[in-house]
Amino acid sequence: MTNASYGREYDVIVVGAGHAGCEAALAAARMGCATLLLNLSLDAVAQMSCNPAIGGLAKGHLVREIDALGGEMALNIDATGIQFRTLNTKKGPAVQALRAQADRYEYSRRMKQVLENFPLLDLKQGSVEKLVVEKDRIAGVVTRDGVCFSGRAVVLTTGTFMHGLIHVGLNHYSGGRAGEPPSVGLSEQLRSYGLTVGRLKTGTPPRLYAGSIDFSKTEEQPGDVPARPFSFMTNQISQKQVSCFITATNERTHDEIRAGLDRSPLYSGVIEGIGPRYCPSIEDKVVRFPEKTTHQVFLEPESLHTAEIYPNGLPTSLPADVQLRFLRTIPGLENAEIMRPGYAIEYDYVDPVQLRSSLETRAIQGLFHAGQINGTSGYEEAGAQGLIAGINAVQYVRNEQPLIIGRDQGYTGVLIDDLVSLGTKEPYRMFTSRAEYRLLLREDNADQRLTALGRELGLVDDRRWQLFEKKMNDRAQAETLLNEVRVSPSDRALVAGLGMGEMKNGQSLAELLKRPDITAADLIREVENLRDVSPDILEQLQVEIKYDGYIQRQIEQVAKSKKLEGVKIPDDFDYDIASGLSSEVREKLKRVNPETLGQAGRIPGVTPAALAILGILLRGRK
Amino acid sequence: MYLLNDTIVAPATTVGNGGIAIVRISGDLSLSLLKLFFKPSSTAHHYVSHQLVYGHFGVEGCVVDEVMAVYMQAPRSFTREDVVEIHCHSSSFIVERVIDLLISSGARMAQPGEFTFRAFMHGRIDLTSAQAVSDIVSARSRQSSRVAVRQLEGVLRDQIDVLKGYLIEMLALTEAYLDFPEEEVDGADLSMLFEHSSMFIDLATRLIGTFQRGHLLKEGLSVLILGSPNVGKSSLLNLLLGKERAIVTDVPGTTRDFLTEDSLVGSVVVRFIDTAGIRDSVDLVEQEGVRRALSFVSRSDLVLYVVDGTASDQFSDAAVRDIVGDTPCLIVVNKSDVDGFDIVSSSFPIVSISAKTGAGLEDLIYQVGLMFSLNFSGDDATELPIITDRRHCDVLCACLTEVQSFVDGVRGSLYGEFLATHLNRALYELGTITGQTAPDDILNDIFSRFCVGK
Repeated sequence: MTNASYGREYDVIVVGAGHAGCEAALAAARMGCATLLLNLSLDAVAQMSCNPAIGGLAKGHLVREIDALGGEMALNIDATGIQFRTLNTKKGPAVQALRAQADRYEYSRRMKQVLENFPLLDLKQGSVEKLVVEKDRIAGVVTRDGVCFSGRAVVLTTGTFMHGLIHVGLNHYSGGRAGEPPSVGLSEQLRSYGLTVGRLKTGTPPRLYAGSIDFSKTEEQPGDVPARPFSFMTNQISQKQVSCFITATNERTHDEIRAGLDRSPLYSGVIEGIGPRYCPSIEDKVVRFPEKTTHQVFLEPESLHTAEIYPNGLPTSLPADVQLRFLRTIPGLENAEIMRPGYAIEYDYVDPVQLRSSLETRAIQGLFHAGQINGTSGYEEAGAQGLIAGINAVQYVRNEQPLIIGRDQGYTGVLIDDLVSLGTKEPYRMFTSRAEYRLLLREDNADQRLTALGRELGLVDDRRWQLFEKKMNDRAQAETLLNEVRVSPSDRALVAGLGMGEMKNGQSLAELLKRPDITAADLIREVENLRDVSPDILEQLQVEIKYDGYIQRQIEQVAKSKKLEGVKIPDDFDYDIASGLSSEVREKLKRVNPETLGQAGRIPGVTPAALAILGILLRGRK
Repeated sequence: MYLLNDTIVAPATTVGNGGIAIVRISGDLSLSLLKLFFKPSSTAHHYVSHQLVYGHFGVEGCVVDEVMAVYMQAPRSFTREDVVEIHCHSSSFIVERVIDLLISSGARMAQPGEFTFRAFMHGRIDLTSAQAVSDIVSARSRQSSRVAVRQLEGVLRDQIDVLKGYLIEMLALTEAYLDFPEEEVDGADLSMLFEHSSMFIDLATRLIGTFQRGHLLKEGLSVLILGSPNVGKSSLLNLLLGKERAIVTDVPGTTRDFLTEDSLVGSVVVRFIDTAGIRDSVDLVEQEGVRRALSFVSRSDLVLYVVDGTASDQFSDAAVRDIVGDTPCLIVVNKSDVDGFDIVSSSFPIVSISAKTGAGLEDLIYQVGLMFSLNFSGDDATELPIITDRRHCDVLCACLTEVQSFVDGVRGSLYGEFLATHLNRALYELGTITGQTAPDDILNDIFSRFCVGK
C-alpha cells in the first residue's frame, strides 16, 4: 500500500477525540501550534461512553484544575449540564466536590463546535493504523485510508479502542465502543518498539427507556438550587435542570443475577483483562458481598432530548435476557425496556511506568500518551492528562521544558506522578486519599494554584486573567479587613449578635474566626464592613484561618519534600554502579527510571538510606 | 534521603570501649544546645572555635557527667556545619542521658552514616570519593538494619503489625467515608473507630512501658543507697555485693565523691551507688555533700532508703517522700538482729533486714524484683516483647500522640480529612520501622471491606 502525504506539516497530531484528545488538541492550538485532531468518527467527539456525568470526589477537583489551566471540560459541562450537586457538604472543605449530570448529546455537540471554531485546529475523520517513526523520533501518522499526516509530536489517546473486545454474556465481538469499530495495528507497533502492552476491562450498564419506568416508585433526587458551576468563568447555569431518581436492588434481583452467573464472561473466565475494583459490575457486588441484601441504583437522564436512562450502579456483562430479568425485579423497573444492553469491554493499555513525567514515552521521542491508554478510567482523569500531554507536546516541539505539576500543586500532578512512578495494573481512578497534601488541594483554590501557570503557557486568555487578578485583589482586601477590623468588648450588640456572651479582650475578626463557634456566615451577618465581601472569598479565608494548624503542617511537609524533588536524576544514570543499593532496589529504580530523587522515594521499597546513596552518587557525577 | 537542615546527634565512639566516649552534634542548633546543657567551670566563658573546655553537662540540679566540650564553627568541621563534640565518660548510662537531653531540645538521632553523608554533601569530602562514601553509608545502614531486623523479629514484629493493622483499618474507615459519599458507605462507624483507637493506645502504651524495662535490662538498674549516718548503709552495700568493703572501687576521676559498684542480681546488672562517703562526714562540706547525694536521686531507678530499726521513732515518711520525689523507693529497716528493733510505718514498701547477719536479704531482692515487674511489665498475663531500641520507642511515642489527637478530633467532631492526617502521620512513623504503607494498601482495605462503586 502506498501512502499519500496529506501535504500539510502539523506541529501536533492528536489521535482520538475523546476527553483526553479534545483537551490535548485545544491546548496545543491555544498555545499557537498547527494542530490536527483525528477521530475514527466525527459523529463521536467527546462521547460519554459510560456515565453521563462529570465530577465527583477528586474528579471535580480535576475538572477545576483543567479549568484553571485554560482547558475546556468545565466550560463544556457548565453549558450542557442538566443537574448540578455539591457532594459531601456535611464534610470538610477539602473533600467537597461538584458533580453534574450532562446532556451527553449537547456535551458532545458543543465540544465539537469549539474544536471546529478554533482557527489553528483541524478536526478530521481518520482511523490511525500506524505511527511514522524516524530514528526513535515520531514524525507523523498513517490512517487506514492510506493518508500520511506529518507531525512533529503525536498524542495518542486511544481510549478503549485498541483491540477493543465487547462482551455481552458469552457472546463477544470486536469494537471500540458499542456500535463502533476497534482500532487495530497500533498496539502491535508500540510493542515492536519495546513498550509493554497490557489488557484492562471496564463495563457499562444497560440503557433503559424512560417511558417504561414507573418513577413514582423511586425517590427523587433534585439538583442544588442554585446550581454551582465548575468553571471560574461561568456566572450561572441557565439551561433547564432535571432530577435523578433513586431505587435499589433486592434479594430477588440478586437471585436472578446468581442464576445467570454460568453465562457471565467474568465468572466463566472469558474475560482476561483486569477490571476496576471501585466500579464493580453488579454481578461482582452480589458475589463478593453476599451479606448485602440491597444495592442502590441511580436513574440518570442521558439527555433532555432522548428517553434513554442510565441506571448508575448496574454495570453488567451478563447476557441480555438475564439483564432484563434482574432489572424487572427492581422497584420502578417492573416493566423496564432495555434500549441498549450493558456490556463489558476489554482493551489494550500501555503501562504508564514507561512514560516520563511529561507523559512522553521513553521509547519514542515526541510520542505522548494520555487517558485510558495509560490505564486510567474516568473522563476527568483523561481530560487532565490530555491537557498536560497537549501542553508538553508543544513544549517538546518548541524545545522548552515540560510542564510538570507537583503533587502539592494539584490532583493532576498526583495522577501523573502516580502513573509514571508506580504504573498500574487495574484501571486507575483518582481518590482524594491518594493526595498526601489533600488539605492544600481544594476545589475552591484550584484557580489560585494553577491559573498563573496557565497564563505563562498562553492558555489563559486576557479576560480570565483580569477576572482572576480581580479576585486575588478582593481576596487580599478581605484578608486585610479580617486582620485589621477589631471587635472590642464594648461593642455589646456585636458581641451578643455573634453569640459570644462575655468577651474579655478585643480581637480581630480573623481571631474571632478561629473560634469553633463563629463562622464566616455569622460575621457577614453581624459585621457592617464585610457586607461587600464575596461570600465565596470569605468562605475560603475561613477555611484557611480555622484550619491553619493543619494546613501549615502540610506546607511544612511540602517544603521538606521540595529538596528531593529538586534533585534531578539524569536519563543515563547507571544504577549498576550504585553498588551500595540492594539488587531489589536497583531493579525497581531501573524499571521506573525516576526523574528526581523525590519520585524515586515514592517507589515502594526505596528507603531513605537508598536515597542518600543515590544523592551521594548524583553529586559525585558533577 | 536524609535531611540536611536539622541538627543531628550520635555517639562518635563505640560506647563501652575505652574510658572516654564522644557524642557528636552537627547542625545549626549545635552551639545553642551546648550552651543549654553545658556549664563551663570558668564562669565568664566565651566559646572559641576548636577550643576544648572543661565543665559539667546536665540540667539545673542534675549533673549528668563532668565533660570536656569543643565547639567547631562551620565550615571548619567534619560536616562543614556547626559541630559540637562532648567528651564524657564511656558508660552507656551517661552517653544515653547526654543524648536524651540533646534530643529533648531539638536534635535528632543521626541515621547510619549521616555525618559522613553531610560531610560529602557539603563538599568536605572530595567528589571523586562519592563511591566510597556511598559504600560507607550503605554498609552502616545495612549493619543497623540488620540489628533492627533482629530486634524486630518474632513477637515484637507481630505486635507492631497489629498496631499497623489498627491504623490501616481506622484509616480505611475514615477514607471510605470521605471518598464514597453516595455509595452506601455508612458514616465511619464511630464505635469501631473508638474501639480500634483504644486498642491501639492500650497496646502502644504497654509496648512503650517495656522500653523502660528493656532499658533496665540493657543498661542495668541503678540503685542509690540513702539514709542518715550510721544506719548501716555501707554494711548493706557490702552485703549486697557479697564482698568486703575494701574491694569497692572508686570511680575514675578525682571529683567523684560517691562510690559505685556493679553486681549481677539474677540476670540484671545492678549498679549500686553508695553515698556513704558524703553522708558519714560531719565536717563543713556536709551541706554540699547532701546536695550532691540528692542530685543522684532523679537519675536513679530505685532508692534504697536505709533506716535504723532501733531508732524507728526518728523516721519521717514525709521527709523521705521529699527527698525521693517520683523515684521508686524501698524502705530498708536495718538491724533486725538487735534488741529494740521495730518496724516503721510508711507509704513506701518496706523490708526488714540485718545487714550484719544477712537475714532478710532474699526478701529485699524479691521486693526489688517485684517493684520493677509491677511497675514495668503491667499485665502479667500477657507476654509482651521488650523494646530495647530507643528509636522504636520514639516511633511508638510519636504514633501514640497522633492517635490521641485523632481520638480528640473524633470527639470534637473534627472533619474527616483532618482526622486522617493524624492517622497518616502515625502510619508514616510506624513505616520508618516496618517499611511504608502505600496509599493503595488503604484502598485495598476499603475495597475488600465495602461494596463501593456505582
